[in-house]
Formats: sequence, C-alpha cells, structure tokens
Amino acid sequence: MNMHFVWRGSPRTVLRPSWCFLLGAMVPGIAMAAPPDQAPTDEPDDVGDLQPQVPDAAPDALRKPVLNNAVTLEYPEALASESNPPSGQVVVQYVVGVDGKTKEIEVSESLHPDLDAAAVLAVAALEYEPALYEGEAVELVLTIAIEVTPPPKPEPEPGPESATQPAAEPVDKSPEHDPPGPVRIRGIVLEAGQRQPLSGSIIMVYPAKGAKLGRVPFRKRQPPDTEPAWTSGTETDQAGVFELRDVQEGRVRIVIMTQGFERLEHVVELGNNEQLDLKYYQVRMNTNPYRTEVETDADPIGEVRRHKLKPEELAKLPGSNGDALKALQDFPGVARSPFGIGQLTIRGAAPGDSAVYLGGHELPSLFHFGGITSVFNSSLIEEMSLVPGNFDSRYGNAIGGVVDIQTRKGRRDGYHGYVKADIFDAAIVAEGPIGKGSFTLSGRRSYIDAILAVAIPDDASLNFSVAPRYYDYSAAIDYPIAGGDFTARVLGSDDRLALVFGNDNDEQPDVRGNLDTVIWFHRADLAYRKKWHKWTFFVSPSYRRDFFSLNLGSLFRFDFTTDRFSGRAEVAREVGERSHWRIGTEIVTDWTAVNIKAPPVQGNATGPRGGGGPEGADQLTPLVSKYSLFTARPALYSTFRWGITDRVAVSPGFRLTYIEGLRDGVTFDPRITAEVKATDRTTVTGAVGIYSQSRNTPANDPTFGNPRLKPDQAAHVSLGVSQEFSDGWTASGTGFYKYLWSLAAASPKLIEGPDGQQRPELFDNAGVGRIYGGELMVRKDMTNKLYGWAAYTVSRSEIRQRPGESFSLFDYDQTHILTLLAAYRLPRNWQIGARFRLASGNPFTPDNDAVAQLREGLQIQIAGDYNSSRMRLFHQLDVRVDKAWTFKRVKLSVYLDIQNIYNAKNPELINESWNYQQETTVNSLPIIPSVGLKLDW
Amino acid sequence: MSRQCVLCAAAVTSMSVLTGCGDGLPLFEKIVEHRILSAPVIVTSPHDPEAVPQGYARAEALPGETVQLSPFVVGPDGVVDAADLDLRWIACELFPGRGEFACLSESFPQSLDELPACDFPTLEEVAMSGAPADIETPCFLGDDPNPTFTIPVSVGVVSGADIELTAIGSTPGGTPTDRCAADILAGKDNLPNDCIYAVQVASVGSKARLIDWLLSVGIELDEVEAPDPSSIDDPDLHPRVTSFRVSVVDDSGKELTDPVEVALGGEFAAKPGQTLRIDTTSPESDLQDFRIPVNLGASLEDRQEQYYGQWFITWGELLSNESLDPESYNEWRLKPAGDDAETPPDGVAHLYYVVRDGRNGAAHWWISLRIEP
Repeated sequence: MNMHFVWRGSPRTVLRPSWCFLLGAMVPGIAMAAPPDQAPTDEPDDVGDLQPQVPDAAPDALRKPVLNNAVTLEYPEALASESNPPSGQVVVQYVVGVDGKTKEIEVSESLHPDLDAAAVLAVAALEYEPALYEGEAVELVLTIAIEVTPPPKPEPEPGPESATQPAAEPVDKSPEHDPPGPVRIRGIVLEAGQRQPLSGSIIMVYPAKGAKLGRVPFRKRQPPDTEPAWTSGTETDQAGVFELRDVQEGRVRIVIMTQGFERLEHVVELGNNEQLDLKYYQVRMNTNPYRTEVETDADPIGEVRRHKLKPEELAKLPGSNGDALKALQDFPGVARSPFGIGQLTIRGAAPGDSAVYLGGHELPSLFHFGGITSVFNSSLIEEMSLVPGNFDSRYGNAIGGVVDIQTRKGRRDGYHGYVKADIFDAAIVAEGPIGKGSFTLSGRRSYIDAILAVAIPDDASLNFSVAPRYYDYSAAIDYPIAGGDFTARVLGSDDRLALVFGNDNDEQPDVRGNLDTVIWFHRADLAYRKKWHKWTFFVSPSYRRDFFSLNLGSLFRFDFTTDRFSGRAEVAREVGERSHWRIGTEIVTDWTAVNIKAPPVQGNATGPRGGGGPEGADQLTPLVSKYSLFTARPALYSTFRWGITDRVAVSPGFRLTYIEGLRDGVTFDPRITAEVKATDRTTVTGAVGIYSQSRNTPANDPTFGNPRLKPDQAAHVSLGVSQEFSDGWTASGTGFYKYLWSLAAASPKLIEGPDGQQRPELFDNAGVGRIYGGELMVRKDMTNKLYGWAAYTVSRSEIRQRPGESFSLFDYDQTHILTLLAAYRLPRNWQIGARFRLASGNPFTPDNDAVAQLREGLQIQIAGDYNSSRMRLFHQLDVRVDKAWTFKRVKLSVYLDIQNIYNAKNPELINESWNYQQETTVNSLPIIPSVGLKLDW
Repeated sequence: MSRQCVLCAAAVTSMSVLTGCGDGLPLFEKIVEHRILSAPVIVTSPHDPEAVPQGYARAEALPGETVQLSPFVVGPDGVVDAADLDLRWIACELFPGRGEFACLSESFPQSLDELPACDFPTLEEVAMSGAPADIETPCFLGDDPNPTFTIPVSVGVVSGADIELTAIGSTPGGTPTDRCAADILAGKDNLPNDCIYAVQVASVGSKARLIDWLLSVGIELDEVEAPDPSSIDDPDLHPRVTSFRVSVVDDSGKELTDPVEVALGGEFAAKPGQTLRIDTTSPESDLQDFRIPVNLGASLEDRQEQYYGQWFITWGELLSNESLDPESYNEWRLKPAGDDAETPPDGVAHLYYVVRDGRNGAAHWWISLRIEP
C-alpha cells in the first residue's frame, strides 16, 4: 500500500504526515500528490494557509521551513502479510539544515524496526526551503508523529453472482474534486488553558452511525471496522478556523489531530441543511515532541564550559521551590551552601568573587536573604548561563565565575500570566502585546513573616520586630525600532528582617539585643540591539540604587548607600564564514555613602588576624568610619574568534580596566580560548586568562583596613571535553586550575600614616590562593520524558595569608560534590523528580579553649590551625511531585516538594560552650515539605 | 564582608536560633569551677585626687599614676582569694588598632623564663632624660594576685598605647600554673581545661587628657597641639552597685516577703523550692557621656555608657544570666537544675553579680544563700 506525503500547493504548506497516513490507510488508493507542474504561490488555497506548528515561545521573526517535494513510504509487504501487522505511531526527530536537506534523523518512539527504517528513509528524502530567522537561514529541529496503520487485508474473491457487477468505486470526496457547496461544519480549535488558536490542525470527519453523541473517550477510540462511506478533511488556518463543506447529514465523528497535542474526537449530529458552529480545546501533550532551538541568539564566542539552562527545565526540579535560579547550585563546580542559603560558591571561590549579570549589568545579589528565592522571577528568563571560570572579556570585576541571565520578551499571542503561591510567597506575572512589541510585569511578596509570627512560641527568647519579609518586582517593554530591538526595564528587590533577642528580665526595650538588616535595590535599564548585515550593535545604560544595612545591637553597624551609573556598548562583526570579532566598553561609576561602627578585632593565641582601629582611637570603644566614596571603572574589552578551519577556532581577547577611587590601578587581563571540534559531536576546549577584581570590603576601609590596597587578581586555566550523544544526552569533563594573588590579607606591619605617624597597616595584598580540580557532568536535556544530570566535582581551594606560611584550606573548600538529579514526566501531566546530594563538609577552625576578656565579660577563643578541621560529609535526598490540570481557559499546577526526605542530620555549624571547651553541632534543616500552587492563563 | 555573606550570616543566625542551639552545653551562668569574673583596674594614686568624686574610683589612668588590679575570683563554694590561683601577670604595650590579647599573642612562641621583668620608667626618670623611654614588652609583671604598678611614661604609652595585662593561673590542685603558662606561651591551642587565662587592659587616656597632661609636665610632642579644654572628657569612672535587695516571690512573681537589703558578701535564708527575686541598682546618673573618634579622629561623636550586668550562681536556676537596665532584677529558683545535686553543698549556694558600663568600668556584688528545710 502506498502512503503519500502531500503538498497542498501553497508555499507555506507543510506536510502533516499523521493525517495523511491515517487517511491513506482508511481510503486506499487515494493519492494526494500535488500536481507536479503546480508552482508554489503566495495565495492561500481554499483550505487555509497552513503553517508548521511552532511552540508559543518561538521568536516572532521565525519563518518555518517549506516542504518542496512529496515522498512515498512503503509499508513493508512482509510485515503487512503478518497475521497482526503492527500499527501505531512512529515519532521521528530530524533537523532541517540551512540547505533545506534533512539530517540527524532519529527515531524517538519506535514502532517496529522495519517501520522505523522506512520512516527514516522517507524523512531523509524530504527537501525543504530552510527556515529563516530575521532573514538568515537557520537550522530547525522538527519532530513528527507518523500514524501508521497497516493496509486492510485483501477482500475475498467475489462469488459468481457478483462477477458481472463492477467493483464499487470509492467515492472520492476530496475537496479538489467536489464542487464547492455550502459550509456544513464550521469550527475553531484552541489550545486548552491558553485559549490560543491552533493552526495546521488536521480535521477529519466521517460517518458515525450509532455512536453516542459527545466526546469520545480515549479508550473507545478505534478506527472504523469498515471503510467509511465518505470522509472529509481539512486543516485549520492561522486563526484556528476550519470549514467543511462536503459533509452529509446525520451523526458524524470529528477527529482533530494537532502536532504536540492530545487527539480529540467528538460525535455530533448534523441536521439537514444545517450548519454547525463548533469550538474545541485541545490539551498540549505532556511529552511535547516538538521543540524549536534557535541558534542565532547563541554567542559565537564561547568558553570552555558554559552551562546553558532553560528555565522550564529547572523550575520543577526538587529543592528549587519553582525557582530556576536556585538550580544553579546543583551544577558542577558550585559548592553546596549550608542550610540551603543562596550563596554561589563557584569553583572554590568566595561568593563575592563571582558576578551575576542580568541584561548586561550586574545584580548586587541573586537571592533574597536566606536563599529562599531569587530576586528576579525566573519565568521571565529566556536563558541563563553559568560560566564557572575562564569567562569572556565581556565580563569583568570578578575572579570567580559568572552567572549571565538573559530575559525574554513578553508573549505577543495574547494576554497571559499566572498567579503562584507556596509556603513562602505569592507571585503574579502578566504579559502581552503592546503595539508591535510586548510587555512583562511581575511582582512577588513573601508572607513567611506571618507564618513565623504564628510558628514561634511566645516564650522563645527570640522575637521578630520585623519578621523576615521580602518583595521583588520587574516591568519591561520590548519594542522593535528601526530594525532593532529596544528594551526598557525596571526591577527591584527589598529584604527586611529585625530580631530582638530579649532577656526575660528586661525592664525596658534595649537595642543591644537587636539584629536588623535591610537590603534593597532598584534598577532601571535601557537597551537597544540591532543586527545589520554582518554587524551587531548593542548599547545599554543603567541606573541602580542600593541600600544595605546591618545592625547588631550597639556592637556593629554597617550602612552602605550606593548610586550606580553603568553603561555598556558593543559592536560585533562576522568576519568571513567562521570568524567573529567583538569590541565593547563598560563603564561603572559608584557613589557610595559609608557608615560603619564596629569594634577592633581581638587577638588570638596563634597569631593576630589583623583589623582594628586607627592611631589615636581608644581601641576599647567601637570604631566609627563615615565617608562618601566615588569609584569609577571604565573598561575596554575585545575578543576575536578566529575560525582557523571548520573545526579549529582560537579566541584571543583582553579586558583593560582603569580603576579609580577603590583599590586604584590599571589592570590588563589577556584571555584566550581554543576550541577543536574533534568530531561533529566531540569538542575539546582550553583557555587561559587573567582576571581582576576591585571590591569595597572592610579590608580597604580607611578606618578598619587599608585604603591603599590593590585589586585582587587571578589566573584561570582550564581544559574541557564535551561529547554529544543522541536523544539529548551530553557528557562533559573539565579540569581547572586557578592561581590567585594580590589578595587582601591581615598585616602585622606598621606603616607611616597620612600624618607621618606610625600606624598599623592592618591589611596588605600579600595573600595568595590556589584552586584546582575537575568536573564531570552527564546531562539529559528536556526532549521527551526524562531529564536531569549527574554532576561530580573534586577540587581543592587553598589560601596562604603571609609569605612563608603554609597553605590552609579556604573557607569555601568542598573537596567532593556529587549531585544526582532527575525528573520524569508521567502521563496525565504528572511529573516526579528527585535530587540526591553528597558533599564534603566545609572546613572550620577548631576552638579548644578561651581567654576570659575581663573588660566586657566575654571570651576570646584560642583557635587551632586555620581551617584544620572539617564538618562531616553531607548527604540529602529531596523529592518532588508535580501535577497539572489543563482546563479550557486556564491551567492549574500543584507541586509537593519534600526536602531531606529521610531526615538526615547533617552538621552545618559548630556550637561552642561559653568557654569553648565543649561543643555540639547545629544540624541542617529537617524534613521539610512545601506545597505550591500555580494558575496560568 | 560582602553583602551576600552578611545576608547569609543573618540567615544562619536565624536558623541556629530556630533550630535550637546550646542544647547539652554547660551554662555560662553556672559556676562549677574557679573563674575570674572581673578584674577592675583602679587608679590608686591619681595625679589629681580632688578631681575624683567621693565614692567613686577612676577606671582609666595617665602615665605616672599607680593602678591596682583586684581580680574578683569565684568558685562553687564562694568567693575565692586570688592568691589561691597562683597567678602570673604579663604586661604588654597594646598599640592603637589592636584588640585585647593581640599584644601578647603576637610574641608567641615563647616562655615565662624568656620574658624580661617589667621595668617601667618613672616620671622622675623621664623628667631627667627629657623624653619618654622605650620599654621592652611583653614583660613579666609578677605573681602578686593583686598587682600594682605605675603606668609607664613610655614611647608607646605617649603614642596612645594601653597596657594589656594577661593573667595565667590554675585551679587549686590542678595543672600547675607554670605548665599552664608554658602551654599558652608556646602557642598551643589545646590547653589544659583547669588552667585559668584572663586578659584585662589598663586604659590610658582619654587621648585629649593624655596630651594635655604630657604637655603640662613638659614632654614635647611633635606636631601635636594642645587640645581644646572643652574637648577633654571627664575621666572614666567605675560604676557602683548601690542597692542589692532580695525577696521571696511566688510563681507569678508576686512578692511574698518584703525586699531585704543584703550587704556585699551577706547571707540570706530561704527554703528549697522557693523563688527569690533580686533587685539591684546602679544609678543611671553614673552613666557618663564620652566621645569617640570618627574617620581617624577627624571628628568626634557622642556616646553614653550603658550597663551590662552578668549573673552567676552555684546552684539552682536563674531567669536570665544578664540584665541591661540600671534598675535590674533577676529571679533565682531554688531547685536543682541540670547537673545540680538535690541540695547545694553544706546547704549553701552563692550568687555573683558583675555590672559593667560599656567602657572600662566594672563593679560586683555577691551573696550567699542558706537553704533551710
């Protein structure tokens, strides 16, 4: 039996194989091949303008590929002759290349080896006009589900009495041959939960005599036992509308098939001379086999290891509480943080050594205090990347790693959004079209303060005068202007907490028992990006205001208020076929008001740790430092990616920064990356680079430190191999070494002060560090039902404070970090996931005794060797279950996330007795279930 | 500290409190071994005695003035004579910018034998030489349990240094003091638990008073101007405990007996299971105003002293181990708690109280309680 792909005569027509196979199976002999001499036209045909099914998140500038030919697939005769030949669905994934040829053809769901092979051969013969994105040919990944039904068994030889009667000719009811008649059935097909029209849906109608009216349940769907007397079929247009004219009255079955959606069947009654108007909602399949990857947004200048993450992959991972950014901590090279707080320790570097960028500008912090959730709604993220080292010259003022967040535009296919609530906070997102552009709005507010107010006993010696509460917001408009993309964005975050550690015998309130912290930032950006021929331009100014305050009784006070103006401008150009050059400038200026009050640092039996106060100060009283600070960091950077051959590329670059006002100096950071594609699926990348950082810390405070400190610097070396396998599997391994120097370290020296008097230097740049290790990752991308990864990191992070001393473990050293994480999509919109973590404990400095400090009645601990002890191994299993219900206009999702499901007692902190002679441990959080709800529209 | 680290520290602090820390560890307020609770430095021979109000004692000294340390040593059986601890005292010039114990600890490793005896120049010797002298520190001050010495007119002190005083001793019958000294001075971090180590600072100042005095005695200071008299603070004085009253209360805190003033070291009788309320007064008027330098002394900011009281007992249970008010109180439940025996040894328990003013001043009180069946 022959089954044909059909070309419907429109340049925008794309084959719908599932419909064709089914129709062909049911009505043998109908060959709907396009007339060979019918040229493609721009006019839609009578059945509407057919478009490939593309997910909503695909960019608007994408033109789908256009099929140019028809292909025949033969059902193997040997298979057809079996007593029970196989039927069902073959799902094939393939890539339409920039030359219109198909490649990388893989069977995702197998039916039978012979049918699989036939399907692959048929797809291989397809020829397209390639997909276009913003006028440039791009590769497109397509997946088709081919319904295969064996041909009916030949009818028995007719008896003698019927020999003279001619065989009944099948009634050809195809629209091309019937004279146009009145519309009998008119309908629209929408996506359930989103209310978006579905174009390109296959509509089939045939008699359903005796069938029960209404929706046909899944279990009762069967092809007709005999050949239907007639059939009619069409496809929905851009508006999701379909019209059928050649439908006979009576009870009829309507079958709706759309790529990536659950099949829908209804039985309706069509009266004589009646027109039915119908509306159907189709549910998107849990395992959406159709996914588009657009490569044009990818940065051609890459790094040794850049973990690109799609938020939809991460938002449902265990332990994430629906926050994709929290999943960053599950990647190789990122250390586990105690109590799950949100510090990013990347390849052994201190959290402050790494930078987080959103839209090309730094964020002051990524998580609300405690790491409960990120400061930016991850559902508005297009893509985020974690670069643990050897990052490109575009990023500066960091010696650790980089997190780069790119936001997405709002949807233009209608107004959408969601409301979400879990045990910590509630969030709302809205988006939609505005003129030719789009907007996004988001807001989130915690209510953990209300919960704690109820949960904490009245007799606890702990009272929240301001229970921890946070909020964040963002608003953005994206608009096409003059061939480019313009973005205006505002975002902000606010965290507050105030604790009162009261005594039961307090007669009146006393601020000495208070702990309060306020941290907020508000930022406004503009950005314009334009691609013109081989050039790409990007410019973005930004303003941000920060406030950070921490008060601990009358002992400590830190107040920082910063106004930051930053700007970035880049020009990039494709050079030849394989090379790419980018040059840019980034200017960051800060005006900071500083107000610090703190006591000097105590001495120690093993040696002083530095710090303290200035000449003339009575060191028995708190030291105060108040001043305004202006700093400027203009930088020039450039990277040239030289594609030596199709498989070998070298990317030298540099970053030149002038630092004024804080750790003054000029830093020149050369960097180079080399990439070798050993095979189409194997890439070896190596890189070497210099990195600098100038941060405002107490070490360079004029009162508490040394304002003449120089920037911290580091050299990164890494070598990595990545291997792609089929079906979305990848494996990668990276070895890295970092050497750090010019680090701020406690100094015992005396220097001449500005007034000529001797004063303690307090800090100098004598510190050095070294970090080395390796990372392994095996990852399964979200292509079907299973995704996740296994990541293992082994590393060592060491520091040496003074010349001549031996290296000690750095505070953030975690020798072994193993993370096993997987999520599996079950039928009916269920998903389960689990995360298992095994990590070395953090090092700490043991305290075994103390000296009574008689002036204040405190104890000065006598510490052992710096970081000479380590916490016990950490292990924890988290489990998560998700369920979604899709209704006509909305979608409801619920999740249950249980962290530490077997209640492991992992020590996180050492709790010392008052004289440091005894100790217990403070363990990690016990088993904690959390529930979340989300309503999408 | 980066903002992220501070956020994390705040979060971890909250987590620790919420998850319950301190379980199974000895209580700070329970005296189960010998301990030095305070060692106020008292100026015994001020240059200007009339400037010290009657009933008060100065807590900070000037060069040439004699000071004495009076360690308040306690044990499970009551107040202990400091001589029982076999103390050794080490003095060290603590330069500005260093916290307590930094001066001595910077000299590790060493030993008592290697320390020179403290040889502090007198005012007369300095007057003859015409300039402050260098002194060698750290130095061995002696083994007098209540050491007395004269603040040296040394280059360091004239530059703003204080005198750090470290006491090394031992619990009677325990590890010998010489062994305790040898271990800590060698820089060891795991020391015998029955050794006693304490550090106090003899504060010299204020800076304005110091400069004023140095100029008045003819000691020349390069590029230092005479301070404005209005900027010279009053000398720091030790606080006082002017009242210590005890009464019996019920579980709701209602007084069942009238409060009784109990003298320093006095005795009070009560029955087992009762709850005592102790009220103490340190006059709010004794809290002095003072100024601290801002931005390397470019300006000054006003501060006021604040009381911080610590409470200790040998048996029973306290409502709180600290108090922050001039008029403070506490409750003492007379029933065994933790590892307590059913009754205190010989039926007598002890309560110790130390109040500090947030600068250099300290005062103390103690009473004994006889548990009568």
